[in-house]
Amino acid sequence: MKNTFQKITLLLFVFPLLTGCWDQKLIVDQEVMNGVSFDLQDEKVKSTIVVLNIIPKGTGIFDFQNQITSATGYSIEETYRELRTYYTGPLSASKSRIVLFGESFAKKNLNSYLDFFYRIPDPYLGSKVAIVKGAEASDIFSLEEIGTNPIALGLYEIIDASESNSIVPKGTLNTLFTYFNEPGKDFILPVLEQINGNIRVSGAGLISNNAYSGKMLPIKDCPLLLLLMDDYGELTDLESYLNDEKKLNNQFSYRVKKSKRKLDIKKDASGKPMVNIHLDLKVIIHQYPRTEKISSKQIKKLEETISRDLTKRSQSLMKKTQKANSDVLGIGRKIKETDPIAWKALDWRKTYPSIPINTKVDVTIEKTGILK
Amino acid sequence: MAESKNEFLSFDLTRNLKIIEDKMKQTADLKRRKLTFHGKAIILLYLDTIADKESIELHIISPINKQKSESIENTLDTKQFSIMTTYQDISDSLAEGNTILIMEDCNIAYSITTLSDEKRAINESLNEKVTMGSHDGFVENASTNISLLRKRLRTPELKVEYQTYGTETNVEVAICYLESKVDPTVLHSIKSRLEKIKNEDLINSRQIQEALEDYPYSPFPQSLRTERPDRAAFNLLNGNTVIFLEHEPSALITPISFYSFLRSPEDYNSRWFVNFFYYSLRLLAFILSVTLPAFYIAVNAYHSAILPVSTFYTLKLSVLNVPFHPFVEAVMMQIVLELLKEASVRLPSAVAQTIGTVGAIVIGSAIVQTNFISNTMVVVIAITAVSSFVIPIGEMSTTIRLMSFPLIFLAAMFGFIGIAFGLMVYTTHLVKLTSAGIAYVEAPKIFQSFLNKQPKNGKGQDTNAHE
Repeated sequence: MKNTFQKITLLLFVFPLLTGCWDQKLIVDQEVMNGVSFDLQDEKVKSTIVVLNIIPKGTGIFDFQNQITSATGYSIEETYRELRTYYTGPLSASKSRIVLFGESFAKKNLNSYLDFFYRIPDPYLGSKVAIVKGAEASDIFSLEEIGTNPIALGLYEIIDASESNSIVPKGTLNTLFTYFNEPGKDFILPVLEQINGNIRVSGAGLISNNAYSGKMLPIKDCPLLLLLMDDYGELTDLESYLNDEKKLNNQFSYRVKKSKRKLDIKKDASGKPMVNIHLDLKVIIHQYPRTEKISSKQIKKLEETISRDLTKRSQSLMKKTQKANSDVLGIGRKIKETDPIAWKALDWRKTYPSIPINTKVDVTIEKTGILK
Repeated sequence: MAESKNEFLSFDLTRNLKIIEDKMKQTADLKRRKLTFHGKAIILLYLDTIADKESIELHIISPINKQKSESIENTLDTKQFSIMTTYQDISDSLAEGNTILIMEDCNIAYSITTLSDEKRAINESLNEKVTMGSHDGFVENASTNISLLRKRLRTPELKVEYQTYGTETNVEVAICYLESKVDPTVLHSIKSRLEKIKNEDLINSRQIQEALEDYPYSPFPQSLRTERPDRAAFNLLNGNTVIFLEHEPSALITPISFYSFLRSPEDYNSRWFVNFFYYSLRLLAFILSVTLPAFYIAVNAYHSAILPVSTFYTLKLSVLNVPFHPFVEAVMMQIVLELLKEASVRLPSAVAQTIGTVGAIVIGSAIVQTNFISNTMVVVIAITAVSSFVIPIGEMSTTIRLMSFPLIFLAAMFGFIGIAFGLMVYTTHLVKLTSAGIAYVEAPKIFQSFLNKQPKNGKGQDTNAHE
């Protein structure tokens, strides 16, 4: 027993001498960046970070203040080193809610730049990623707040909301990393735009080969693309015109409750892949401009209208992705999985824009809401 | 005066009295009473302070005065007595509260039991309260306590063994067990361990506990001290041994497993899911009170990256103006808490309430307002304390609360790694511990423990079910 006691006392004296407390990062001292943005400026990277400072004003009352700083350099690490000098404590990216890219920066190979975020254990891989259109990404931060939220947290909420509204698929730095290293699959990023001092998600930017293609899909097409990608959110609403006239009060809208996607890849005589996409939707009508009852005959007619409309729109959507050379559906990955030999023979970047993609949408109206 | 230990009484009454009084060191509370019985002088000797005078009057003096019968034995037949022949026996018997009757021209004395039964009424145990179940508690009397057990276990299998310990204290220890259930090797080891304290002056049950413990340096109690007869009876049925010390209002149960400390007798009186919930709650309380402050410090000092953003800012806001390291904060708060707890235990209950107010309002809120300790730390320590108070046995509750201190230190030094290391040491120690040779910690049989083994026939399948 005496021996054990000696050992314990010895340990107690040795412990403080070991490393340990040297790694300490007290919450009080930490400066935490909430948002990061990258722009391209004179062939240099301009990094901007937002650090949210909380100022206590008595018990339970506090105020916040954004401290925004930027630095330019030839690499992100270089700018980071400069940015550190602005702050009182160790700078941590563990709470970065948002990563923004300026349009010009996004057109570079994102993978190689973002490498910085993946190598060290500290950063927050749940951050949302977005492209800023029409302005420098750092300008967005100067808005300071969105509603009552500090800017970075507000941007996170905006993108989160657009994900549940099926404008962009759920995505974080973490999911991006998997796409970066997948040759047969591209992805889309939300595009933010500042309009009259407010920020909104104005569409989905198509990424081709880890860089922004510069092509953007408008919001009203996004839910359909997400349905084709089989990666839709909680609320997937679409509209169609009752007839071909585009006039006031001629639209009816419906919410997709269930969707089944079938992706068939066939080879033609020359070994080129042919893609058939069949989409089977179950929808609820939740807005219909005529006040009359919808008879079962009309339902049939509406189903046909929607099917025709969506087939047409999906066809053109796929054309757009091919034009942007952005294989968001992961057709390449599917070929790679099912037919690895054929995959090796293909130069996918060159093949994708030219393969025939046929889409067909079938719609069943399940309910017409509370009203008949 | 040179006298052999077993010197016998003589026929000379005055000499006898003189030697007995010398044996009793001329103590002032030794009273003598002179009577006559059929013409012979009779002397009654008793210790005024512990003998029951009413009983002496009723059962000894009045029959003698009435002179019912020729012989003294027949006169005293209503009362239990024994015959003594040596001075040593007589003085021992006097010290136990008996009355000694010596007759003229007679070399034997009668020792009559007249110990005054200054018994406390059987009350509810103050330290182990329940809302459901019986409300009786042990008192400072071993035979009463055993009677409480006998009431519950009406079986000839319940065996009681008396042993007297201590050269000066001469205190009785009762070992109770169910002959059919107890493991004879365990019982043997318990008895042989008790032998070790044969000559020690036994005052409190801690001494018995110490003798019984396999690891006296361990912080964990290895025998359970309870004030509740239902708990003792339950453990007897499980084959454990219950030890009573006269004048101690508690029973020592050994061998015991760690999980028994997290159990309240109430559990077995509840529906299975209530039982399961409270048992799980106590397990959680145990884990919380050991690790929570350490976890908080580790997060605060090293691992804030694991916090969600909103939690992070809430935390940061509360620690922003606190000048101390979280470790110092935690130690300060723990000390304040222990001080408050100790103060309220020592003070009379009316004043203790004031301490509660002082603790909660003055220290609790003022310490936060002056930015000495952060709000979150107060919350963390309060939760730790409350969860340690959930543990039904006071000894274990204190142990657990103190167990958090080394972890706090390790967490401040090494963060999560320190906690992992500390918990490893704790678990190794707990697993190694034995109580009277039986493993202290086994797999927590949560599910077996709350399901009664007897099959239950629901819905009146029982033939005796009425209607």
